[in-house]
Amino acid sequence: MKNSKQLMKGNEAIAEAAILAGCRFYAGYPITPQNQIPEYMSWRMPEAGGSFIQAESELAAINMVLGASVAGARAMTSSSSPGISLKQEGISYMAGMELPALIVNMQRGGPGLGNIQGSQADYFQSVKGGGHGDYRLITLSPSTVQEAADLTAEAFYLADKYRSPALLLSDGILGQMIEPVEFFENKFLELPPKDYILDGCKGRKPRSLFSLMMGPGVLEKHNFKLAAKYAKIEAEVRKFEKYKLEDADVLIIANGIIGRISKGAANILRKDGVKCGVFRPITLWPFPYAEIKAAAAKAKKVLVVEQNMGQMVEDVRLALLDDSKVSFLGRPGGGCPFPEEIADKVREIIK
Amino acid sequence: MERSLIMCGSGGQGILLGGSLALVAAFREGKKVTWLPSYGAEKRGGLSYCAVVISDEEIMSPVLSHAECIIGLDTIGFNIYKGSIAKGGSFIVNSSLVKDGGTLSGCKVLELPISDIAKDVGSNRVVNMVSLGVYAAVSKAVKLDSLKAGLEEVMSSRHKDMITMNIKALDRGYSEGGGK
Repeated sequence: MKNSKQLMKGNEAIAEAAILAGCRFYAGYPITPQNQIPEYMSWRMPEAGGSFIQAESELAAINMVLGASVAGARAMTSSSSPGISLKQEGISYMAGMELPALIVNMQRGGPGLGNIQGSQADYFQSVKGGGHGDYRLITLSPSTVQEAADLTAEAFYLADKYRSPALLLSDGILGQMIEPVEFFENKFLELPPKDYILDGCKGRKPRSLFSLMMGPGVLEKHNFKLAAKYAKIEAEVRKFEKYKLEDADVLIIANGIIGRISKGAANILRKDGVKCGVFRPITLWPFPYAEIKAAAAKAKKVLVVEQNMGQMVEDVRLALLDDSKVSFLGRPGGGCPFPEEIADKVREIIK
Repeated sequence: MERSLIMCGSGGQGILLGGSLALVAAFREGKKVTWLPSYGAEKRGGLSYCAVVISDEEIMSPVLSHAECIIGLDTIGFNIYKGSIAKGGSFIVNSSLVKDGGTLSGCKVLELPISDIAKDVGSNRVVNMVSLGVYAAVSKAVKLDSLKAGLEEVMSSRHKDMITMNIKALDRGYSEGGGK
């Protein structure tokens, strides 16, 4: 499987990348458009010596992942928007218990059951706390099948490094499309030993893992500790792509598949002499506020493009603190803009 | 240079398999490729669609507003995507089922009775392969030999006995499309 390019669906590439990253526990419940992940895992995980479980519900699946993480396994679950809503309780508990795990959301249109087309409508849910409590969730947004595979491996690493759940936030388009992908050896630094897991206390002091902290001041202290960890992640983990920014008069900011399509729009515009560049955030939390502010300093106009009616645009506004520069193009409910449509919107705002 | 193909028709015509074969063939030639299917509650007889992009450069958009070549195998696909042909592009129309090929303008139109040709080759089931042979001849975006070589990869093992007929269908389409 390693070191040669092959054609794969985004969903399958994510599953294979997880196996190669050492994931040995998967639990999930079927939902379109991510079903190729559990389908692939159902044969590949046993082959790798791990456990695959088709759970009775999303809630069961996320809590099985919690349990596997407590026991020290590299564990993951995957779903799509409505299913991810159901998993929020477990994600909040894992954040509280400081447990690593990967959650994959191949977003579809919403709210409610919505439809099964690609979407970016779960941005708020992902980066502003989909579950309850004062926590943050490492959120990575890939734009190609290759990047989906690479970020899957990186998400596991970051989850272990910071003892935090991590989310791969992608969508139905990337899940269903086929593209060449190459799998690489794990290139990450060594991780600290898992000295918190519950693996039998014979010969050592018993440990416990919990998120209920009722004593006076105990939870507040824990929240301060979590906040310090989140500040450290914000300082250390920020990923983004800058595309043709050097001389850009107009800047498109978009993530995931839309970030990629926006690069196509920039190329169309540049053929017409419009100096357009693209800033594509890869980590949605931590959000690259400072880098976006710097990238937009020279641009006269900024266009945010999303497959929703305006979510990440709020973070861009926070980064720039200059609303006069910012315009928005949104396609909700499974709609997807073509490069030409984005280019037309840019022409409109620079008129 | 970026080449784009939309293959559309009705579920059961092997649209997704046909598009995958174009993808695999171009990939074998060392090209960058993307394949994106329509994704809904499709069933036999409903709309089926896929978009294939073939390029020497990084592919930005897997979604296509316009394609330089469209293969329309049935009216349901033809009616939805007839406006998606790029100016000066090539529209391959299955005139066995699509009667409105003559209404197209601004592009090259190649009307061929692809379903009838497929039956003549051996089965209506190879309609996708006949059309891909035509595509190879008309677009030169993929080589006929690459398509043939890719068959083994895209066809499920239970249909391996169909490979010979599929090769015949590719060959026939290629010559019907004017390839030599």
